[in-house]
Amino acid sequence: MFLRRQLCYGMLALGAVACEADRSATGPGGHLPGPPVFEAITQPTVSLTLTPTSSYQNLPRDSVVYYPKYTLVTVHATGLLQEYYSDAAGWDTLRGRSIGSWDAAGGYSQAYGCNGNVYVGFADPGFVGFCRGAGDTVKHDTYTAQLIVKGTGTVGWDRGPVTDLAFCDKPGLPPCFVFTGSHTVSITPEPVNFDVTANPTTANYKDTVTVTATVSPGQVGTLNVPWTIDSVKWAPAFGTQTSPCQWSDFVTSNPGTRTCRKPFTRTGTLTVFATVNGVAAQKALTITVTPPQLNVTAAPASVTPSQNVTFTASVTPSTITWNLSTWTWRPDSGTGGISAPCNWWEKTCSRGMSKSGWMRATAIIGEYTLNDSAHVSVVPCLTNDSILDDSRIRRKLSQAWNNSNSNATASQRLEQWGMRVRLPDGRIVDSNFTNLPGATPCKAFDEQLFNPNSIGTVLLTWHTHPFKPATKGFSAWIPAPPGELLPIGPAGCPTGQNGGAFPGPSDADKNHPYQQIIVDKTNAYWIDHPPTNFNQLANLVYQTKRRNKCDILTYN
Amino acid sequence: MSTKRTQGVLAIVLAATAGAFLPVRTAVLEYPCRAGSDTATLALNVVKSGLAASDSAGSLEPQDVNASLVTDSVTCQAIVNSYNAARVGADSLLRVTSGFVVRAVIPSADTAYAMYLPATPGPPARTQEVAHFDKAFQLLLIQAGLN
Repeated sequence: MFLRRQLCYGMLALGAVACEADRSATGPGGHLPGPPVFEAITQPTVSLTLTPTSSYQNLPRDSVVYYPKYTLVTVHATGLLQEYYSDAAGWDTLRGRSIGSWDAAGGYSQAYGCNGNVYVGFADPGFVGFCRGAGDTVKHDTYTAQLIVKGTGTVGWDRGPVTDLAFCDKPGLPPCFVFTGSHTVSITPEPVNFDVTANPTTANYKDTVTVTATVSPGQVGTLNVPWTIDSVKWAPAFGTQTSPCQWSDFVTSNPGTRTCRKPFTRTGTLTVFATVNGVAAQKALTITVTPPQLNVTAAPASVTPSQNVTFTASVTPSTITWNLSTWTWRPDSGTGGISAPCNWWEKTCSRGMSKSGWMRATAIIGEYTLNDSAHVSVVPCLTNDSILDDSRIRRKLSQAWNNSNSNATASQRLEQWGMRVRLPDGRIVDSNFTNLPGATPCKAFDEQLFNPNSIGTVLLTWHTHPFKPATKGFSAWIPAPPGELLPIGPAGCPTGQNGGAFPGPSDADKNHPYQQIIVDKTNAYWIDHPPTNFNQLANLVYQTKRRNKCDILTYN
Repeated sequence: MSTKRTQGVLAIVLAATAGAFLPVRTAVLEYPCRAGSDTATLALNVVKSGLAASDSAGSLEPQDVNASLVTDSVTCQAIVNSYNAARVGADSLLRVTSGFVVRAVIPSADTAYAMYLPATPGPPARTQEVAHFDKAFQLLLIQAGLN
């Protein structure tokens, strides 16, 4: 009853595994099902004692064990009996005298063959032991047999020694010989471990993985441990898929090893079911497959109108065969912007560009639909700096500038601020921030009231200085128009009269660890190598880009 | 009379003249040329970058500007006086006794002077300023740094 209950629990556990696998088929990135529950059902071991007392006494060959499948067992018969002449009158003066020891192989006679011996037999292969050979007179305390058996095992003791004496060992007569002591018979299946491994366990798409099933030991003496791979279950991380390794795909490398070498295309759990030395065994392992990766590049990433951009789609790993499905062009605004669509058969496509936008490629590789995009910036003029020539940055800068009221009276102007930031979820976004607390004509925000780092990891910021600094001619300064003088009073503005805007970042502006773009009416200032500590401020170098030469607020 | 002594006498004379422009509480003799390694370097770079960015031709780079920190107290005092002279009325609170005075030589242009005044929390609070002067120490304009 106890065993039955255990089996029921095992079946329940296996059922739970199946349910889990179904629920987990959620697609790429889904969780793998948990490892199967392994219910070990061990083969029975038998040990019994035979105590024959006389030569006329058979101990019947009783069924003692059953092995439904081929099992490599070790059979031991140990112990010696002590043999005596019986009290039969015919023995005269020998009655009751000790003859000597009697072992499990018993005796042998020409007429009767083996007798007085321990008998062990199985349905397959039949007689196992033990039998004394003709002429063998040496007694052994232990007899051992290792062999592969199947079916019902019977153990008994056949009477003996068999004689033709008339005064004993016949019905109504005493036995000829009597024994003391006993034989112990044990039948023990060989303990065998079963394991399944994969190499590699993490592979690229379509890489060949070697799955190796092993039993240990594979051999006992000269006998191969009997084992079979019965079935294989494959639970892919998403969708459904025939197991890359079927049970029939395993080939024998040596008596204890079978391997299957197949390409794997998705992550999953492989469970190998086997019968090992008569016992059902199973082992699960996870194989992780890195999906193929589609990469799209645009070179150059920034161009002036009508210049050509070369789009290239490639796949990692590069060894697989693949085709593009589509190229899709999406301009940042409106429609058009590309001289002609790129075709699916062009993995490299060169086109003339007149608008900024995204080129997206789609490829279906096996069970994977892959996408990747590259952005192209079309700008009226190039600075040859990847950030300053990025139309997305220029667009944000332009928006920020337009929100600065740069043509209003000085006190009504407002510095505007934005940033490229990596959000906690990993996305990188470009965003302008209007109405920041503490913003004035001379200050983008109050650092006591707004902390850019509270939003994410700041990668780049920009802000406006909506004033026109004075310029210097050949020999004299050209003051900015009176309307460009800074207001007095607002935070960050000068406290004295007649102050114009300094053309460049202030010392406070410089004291940030991130890249910055600052724009005034004359120039843009690009701090591309921000200071990492305060001591670097004094020698901080930044670029000045004249807006009348290449205005980085312009884009297509 | 050595040059150094001459400069010292001049500095006293100029300082006495400048006293009219100084706030009462700062009307003491101080060395008008400010120094200090980090801030002096900062002052030089601010002036060079500012002059380059102001170039109407748009071709001047900071490294084209030959700038040096002025340590001659006569010159510095003249610059300070000129600056203070422009700070009248309510602005008189912004008068200074010293500053980072930079002599800048721009190719194909006159020698110029600039005085860099770092931001101070006050009172009176002051934003970062760069005041420009001609070679006669006349104040031409004041530029304030925006944040």
